[in-house]
Amino acid sequence: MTRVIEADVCIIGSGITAAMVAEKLTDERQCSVVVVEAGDEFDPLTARPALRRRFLDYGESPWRNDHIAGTEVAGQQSRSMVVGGLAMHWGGVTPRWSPEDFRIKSLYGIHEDWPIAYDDLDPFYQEAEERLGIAGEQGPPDLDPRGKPFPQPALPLTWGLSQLKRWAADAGIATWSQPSAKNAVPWRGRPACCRNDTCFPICPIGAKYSPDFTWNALRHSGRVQLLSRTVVRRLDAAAGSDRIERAQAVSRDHPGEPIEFRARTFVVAAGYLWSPHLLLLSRSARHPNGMANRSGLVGKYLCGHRNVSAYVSVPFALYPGTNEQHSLVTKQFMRHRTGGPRYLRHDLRIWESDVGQEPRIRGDGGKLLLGDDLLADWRRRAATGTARVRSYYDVIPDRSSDLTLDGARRTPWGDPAPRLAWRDAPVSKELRGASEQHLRELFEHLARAGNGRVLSTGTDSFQDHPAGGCRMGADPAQSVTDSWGRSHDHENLFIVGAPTCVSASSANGTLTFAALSLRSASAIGRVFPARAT
Amino acid sequence: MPSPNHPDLSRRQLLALLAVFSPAAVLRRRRGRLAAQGLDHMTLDAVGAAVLPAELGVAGIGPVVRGFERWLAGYRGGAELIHGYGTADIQRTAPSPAPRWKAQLAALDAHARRRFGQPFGSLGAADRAVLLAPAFDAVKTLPRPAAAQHVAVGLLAWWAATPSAIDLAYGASIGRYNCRPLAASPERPVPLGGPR
Ligand SMILES: Cc1cc2nc3c(=O)[nH]c(=O)nc-3n(C[C@H](O)[C@H](O)[C@H](O)COP(=O)(O)OP(=O)(O)OC[C@H]3O[C@@H](n4cnc5c(N)ncnc54)[C@H](O)[C@@H]3O)c2cc1C
Repeated sequence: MTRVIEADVCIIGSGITAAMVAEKLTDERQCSVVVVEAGDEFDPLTARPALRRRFLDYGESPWRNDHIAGTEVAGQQSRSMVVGGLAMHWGGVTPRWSPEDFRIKSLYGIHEDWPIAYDDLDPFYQEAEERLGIAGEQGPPDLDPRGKPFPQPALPLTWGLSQLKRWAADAGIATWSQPSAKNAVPWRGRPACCRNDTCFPICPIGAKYSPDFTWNALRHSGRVQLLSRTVVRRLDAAAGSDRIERAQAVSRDHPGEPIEFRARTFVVAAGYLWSPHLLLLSRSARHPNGMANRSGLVGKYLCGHRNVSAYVSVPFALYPGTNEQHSLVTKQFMRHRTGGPRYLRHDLRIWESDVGQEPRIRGDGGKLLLGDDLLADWRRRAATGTARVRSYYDVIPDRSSDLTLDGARRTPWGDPAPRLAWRDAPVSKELRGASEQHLRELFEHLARAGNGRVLSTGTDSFQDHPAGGCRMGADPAQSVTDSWGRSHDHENLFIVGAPTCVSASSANGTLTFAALSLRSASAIGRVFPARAT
Repeated sequence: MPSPNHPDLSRRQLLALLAVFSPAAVLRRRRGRLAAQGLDHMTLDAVGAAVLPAELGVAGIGPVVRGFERWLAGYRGGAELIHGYGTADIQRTAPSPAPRWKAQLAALDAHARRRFGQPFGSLGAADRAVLLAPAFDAVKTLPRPAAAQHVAVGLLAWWAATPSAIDLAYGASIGRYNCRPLAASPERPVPLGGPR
């Protein structure tokens, strides 16, 4: 028999974007919220020190049961289907994108403008920063504008990062402390960071934000009902209508007993991968291409950014290990300037590193080094430091950068699996070589200005902070949702966060996904009465 | 210590590891864990003295070797490794090296008795070095401890990844992976032995 669960709002997924929507809605509105999550529950905070220890000693994953066997897909995918989603083991790095990101067509004649401007998002960036607890340093206001100060003071620079800040300044690059979802001061019941340097993959004290803190609070106060191990398989519209009436789901514990969620508003918050997938699966006679897909753009324009990185020797000592995960950042290059390739926007981050200083068992001539010889060689090489530098650069997606249903693979519950393919738009394809070369030259310049040497460079071909697949826009023929994340085709269906991005900037995306989700929540909440404060 | 972004095993190695989950393999693993507790202390101490920095002194080498034994006893083959970034592959730790390493210690000792008429633990530094040399023949870089073919390499690799070895090399109290007051983190790490 089908179990029916009713609520005012049904949120599909429990990642960071779902957590933002649920928290804001239940803070501000009188509405019942049910959250449906395919994955398992997370380990409690109290278990994390021991799990971290096993990670440090043996490399074991500290996140048990954080993925579902059989959900691997063709194409780039980071595994985490669990209550809290990918942000259970994110790095917590939270830059804002820059005003230019939302206007690249107007400014540079490239790709598309977003239907919103940076200023529209600024209050929601601020709100996300307050809810997550972001510690940050204000960059130069013209590059890093913000309506209000960061909610928390910046995480202090380690001694090594202070040296590297001076080193970058010698090359004419002004840097500052990377904003992070790691507490510089105690925040909403979580302690300040103590720099034990395993932010990724696991913060053992809860100084780094992860969505479990939001879910614990919301569940504890009875403000949401969250069903884990429950997979939504399709959305159905009411007969003869575009209004979404129900979400059909299956419990992983009782696959024979279907569950049906009925709600006034449905929110798809299942990330860049599973959100378009669910919409494509929800085909019917009236919606033959799936839900929200009259434009044919569900699954299209997947976007992200690639990176070029380098290790650069510096002529002074550093002490990597005091906090190698924290970095310097600059937004100086997020505004396209003439002089390089026709269009290139990128960030630049600098970390201390021990690459090139690791203990060696063979000396330069291949001589075996044991005991005191090994230590002497190690000391000699540790006397000067290494900087790790990396730039994400903006990649413009092609329409064919897409998620489709895979004819060859099925999910464990029998639906076609998603298949992912990232493809650059012609402009990015054409500029790729020159862009990457330009970044390598920038690293050479940094090295030379600081009397150092580039030890090695690398390029990741995958696209980081994946987004897109249900892009927002003003024109229903050219986009899947409006600027609030409301589907053009179904007035009670919202798609939030990463999938709605038009392009993916050249910096970590999750703060933007959270801000976009909060903006969506403000629209979702309008139909419900305000909560008395 | 593992680098979080670069998982240990390739896809091919992972497939090979699936064999690890047969009932016979489970039994073998259980035997492996028991065997880990039976490493020959005396020979292992002597290996430690041969490969670790003499600067640690006898008082320093003993605790390193005991720490290595504890680490080995806690090792679990087939455990899920930290996921790689941007890849769906789930990778697992290799079977415990304990049975192999135990056999190597026994072989070292037998070799010492044959060649020098004494247990390995009683040999002088030069003779120990002669017997250990083949263990390092094919080793070009320090592997992750559990991936070391030979116990001598495993011990050295394990020590080199400890926070105290890192402090020794940098001559400063970095205290990698320790909690520290946030307000103190801008300060230069204090030189070992106190401020100079
Ligand atoms: C190792 C790592 C480090 C990272 N570090 C950073 C960083 O420092 N900074 C940064 O900006 N970003 C970082 N990211 C990216 C960041 O984690 C993600 O962008 C973010 O967590 C995505 O959140 P989301 O809510 O969009 O989706 P997700 O976290 O993917 O959540 C979606 C949830 O929906 C569930 N779901 C999917 N389909 C269904 C269904 N049909 N029914 C029910 N439930 C479903 C999934 O199980 C999942 O839990 C990192 C990612 C990884 C993997």
